Amino acid sequence: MPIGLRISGRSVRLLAKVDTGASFCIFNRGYAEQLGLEVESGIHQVVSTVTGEFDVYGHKLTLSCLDWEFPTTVYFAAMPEYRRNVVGRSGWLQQFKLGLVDHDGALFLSQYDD
Amino acid sequence: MADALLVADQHVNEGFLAPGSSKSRPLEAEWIYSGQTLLGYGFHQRRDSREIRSVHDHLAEAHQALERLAQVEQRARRDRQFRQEMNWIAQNRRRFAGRWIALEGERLLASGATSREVFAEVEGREPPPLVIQIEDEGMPFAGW
Repeated sequence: MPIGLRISGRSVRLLAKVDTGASFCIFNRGYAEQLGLEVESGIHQVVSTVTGEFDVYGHKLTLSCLDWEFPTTVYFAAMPEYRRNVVGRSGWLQQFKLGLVDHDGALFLSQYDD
Repeated sequence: MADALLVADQHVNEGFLAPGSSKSRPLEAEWIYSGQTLLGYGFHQRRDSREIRSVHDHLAEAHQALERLAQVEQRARRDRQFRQEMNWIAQNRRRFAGRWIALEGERLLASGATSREVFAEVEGREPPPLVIQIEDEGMPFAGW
């Protein structure tokens, strides 16, 4: 999924996996640093995975995705080696209606209010 | 102008070019169309001059249609660039596995071992390039 993040006149473009099981949107901390954010100044949260836990920090910014753009809170992993950007329920999925036909490699998206 | 109208005819679903965009539109039989290609798209003149719509109405609707056309073109450019970037990644995944890259369409702008290195090379570019770490997808993913 193509994602844009923007805050205070700085912006980045990245790709993220859609993860309907993820509670939050979590990105590599390199994007936060490029946006001029101090990662550890955000809202601290510990997230669990099947293999363990890790720390993330939440920041309010503007997220864009295809035709849509909205203010939201996303999280950046504390560990630099975190690789997989994901968009999850809070901050992304709850803004949309989503349809998925994996067989065709097709994903249908519309904003919840449309 | 004619070119723009014809293009708009292909893409714009609303605005003054769209059929039925005029709320008080009478039967089509009453209208004389100015050109065959614009048939049904409200670019017309009325026989009865008392019911000719004001120039301001037409201009306002034309402005809206052109704005919408600009949005459609912007979206097409964005989608084309995204497809080019996905193609580039598919073709170069193995070569750049594990590395950070900055892409603009099918053009590689920078690559490096860290995001910081790559961002430093593309600093100030607007709109920002796509910056990602290429995943090695040789190993299946088991979820979190």
